[in-house]
Amino acid sequence: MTSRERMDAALRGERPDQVPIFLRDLTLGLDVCDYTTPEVCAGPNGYDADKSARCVVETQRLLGHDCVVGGIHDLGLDVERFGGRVEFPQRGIPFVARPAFASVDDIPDASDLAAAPSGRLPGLARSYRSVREQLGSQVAIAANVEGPVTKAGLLRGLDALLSDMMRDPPAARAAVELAVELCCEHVRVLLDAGADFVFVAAASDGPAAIRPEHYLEYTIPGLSRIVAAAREREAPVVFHPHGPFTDTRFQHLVDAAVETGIVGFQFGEDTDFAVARQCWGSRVCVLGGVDIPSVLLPGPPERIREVTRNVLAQARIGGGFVLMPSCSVHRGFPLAHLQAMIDAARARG
Amino acid sequence: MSDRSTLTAALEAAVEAGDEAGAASAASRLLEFGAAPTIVTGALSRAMGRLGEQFHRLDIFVPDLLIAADAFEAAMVVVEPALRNSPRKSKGTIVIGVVEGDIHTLGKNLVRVMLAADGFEVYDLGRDVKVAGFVDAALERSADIIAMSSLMTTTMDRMRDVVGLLVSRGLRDRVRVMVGGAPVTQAYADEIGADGYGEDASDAVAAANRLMVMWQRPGADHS
Repeated sequence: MTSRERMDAALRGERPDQVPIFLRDLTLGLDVCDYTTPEVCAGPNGYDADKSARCVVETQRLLGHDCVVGGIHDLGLDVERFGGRVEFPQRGIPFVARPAFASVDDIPDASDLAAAPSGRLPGLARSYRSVREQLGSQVAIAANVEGPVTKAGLLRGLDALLSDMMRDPPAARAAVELAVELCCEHVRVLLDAGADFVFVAAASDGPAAIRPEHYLEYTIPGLSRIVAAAREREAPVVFHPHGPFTDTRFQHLVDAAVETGIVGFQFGEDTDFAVARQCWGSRVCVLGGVDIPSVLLPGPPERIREVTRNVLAQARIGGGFVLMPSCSVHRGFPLAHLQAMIDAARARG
Repeated sequence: MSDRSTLTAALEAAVEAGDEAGAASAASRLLEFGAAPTIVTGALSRAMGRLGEQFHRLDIFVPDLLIAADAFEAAMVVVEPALRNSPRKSKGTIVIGVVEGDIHTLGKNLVRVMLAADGFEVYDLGRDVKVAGFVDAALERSADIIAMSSLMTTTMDRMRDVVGLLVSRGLRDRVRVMVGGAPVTQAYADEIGADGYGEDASDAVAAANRLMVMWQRPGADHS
């Protein structure tokens, strides 16, 4: 099987010849190619699609993972479009220095999205196209798209958005509505640029950040619309919110996500991976497995190999499974640690 | 129940409900009734302590803590002039901030409020604080503790740099270091030589208290 076929089979709930590996390496390739962050993300001509694609391709050739994100991804793509400010540290990862919507009055109507500047999104799409051309049909490409509350939090500022949810729900709804429209726009643009599936990265969509009732009110309807937008292009969706979802008090939140039609759920930190496989492994592909803060980052490699072998032993239960770090990996991450995880998985098969 | 105890209960309830106006009003009325400012801060501390425990158990969530923190600060604005006239005993002085390259302030803000509610004197350095900024501020404020937060794996090693700078400036025995943030673990805190680690806001308060009990800085006087 090719890497792409392996990933496709796992997302369909099947068991491929080997467990597919997805690093969700959003800025790691900057180190592999020794580029500064601004020269790729914020060069004189804006987003440098050629350098971004080179980062992705060289990293995949170095480590041999089965699935890539099609470009160097930063969280400020839409923030700048609406007047926010993003900083690009030379060797760090871009961050939102000033959210776009300091005041509730700054939030435009979602129907006005067409009038907004496109920002760096076209450059990112060119990177995806270039990655598809260079990697051909062998490797799977994920469209990395933020989740509803996560995107809204980047635009409004997370603490302001969470306060809005408690004190000014119409303002919170306006921010999330706009965010979902942006998410759907990214889905269409990145799938058209060659991505195989959509990965909804949703750090602030879950009980690590919001109330369960807010998740049901804001996240789930937004996720449904993202799934619908992907379905228009016959693409599956994987969802990755943060929170202790295997805690019995929050398991209904996973069920609600599954009911939107997602095909995969990535469990991050603070979850019991065995419980996740047992509860949902027959309904969706389960992604994840190796915890970043406690295992993958500190290492050492032998411990990473041991943990990976244990995760893979558990993964024999249930259907589709994709091995991943518990969240995204970025520049500065020890490549040898990722290589140890991949080697252990490949040795196990 | 006396008026004062009714008002104290009302103040605690207002903070727990995130009712800024209610908290400010109850604090103001308590002072009008002749309550010592420490009665007000004691009530605020109890309310924030209970919220911290509920948050630790995930019975409440970040938005609940955020609005409670706003209510706490609204009450503190009322009581601070009175506190200046009859200063309360501080548990210790802490400079707190988010490390360089990181602007995720939400967790740090919650920890700041919880520490202040617990009786620490807290100086907030904000976000994207340079390594030397922590050390200089600690010196300037004669701080007992430097508290640092990072939400990103890419920036968390600035905490290690702060510890290193304290060592290279010969200041390591004069100030304690505590760390926290999503990717930070006890093992990481141990590895970089930090003295304390807080898994969440209430845990950070417990860690700060442990540090103050376990360590009395040479020449420090918190009596």
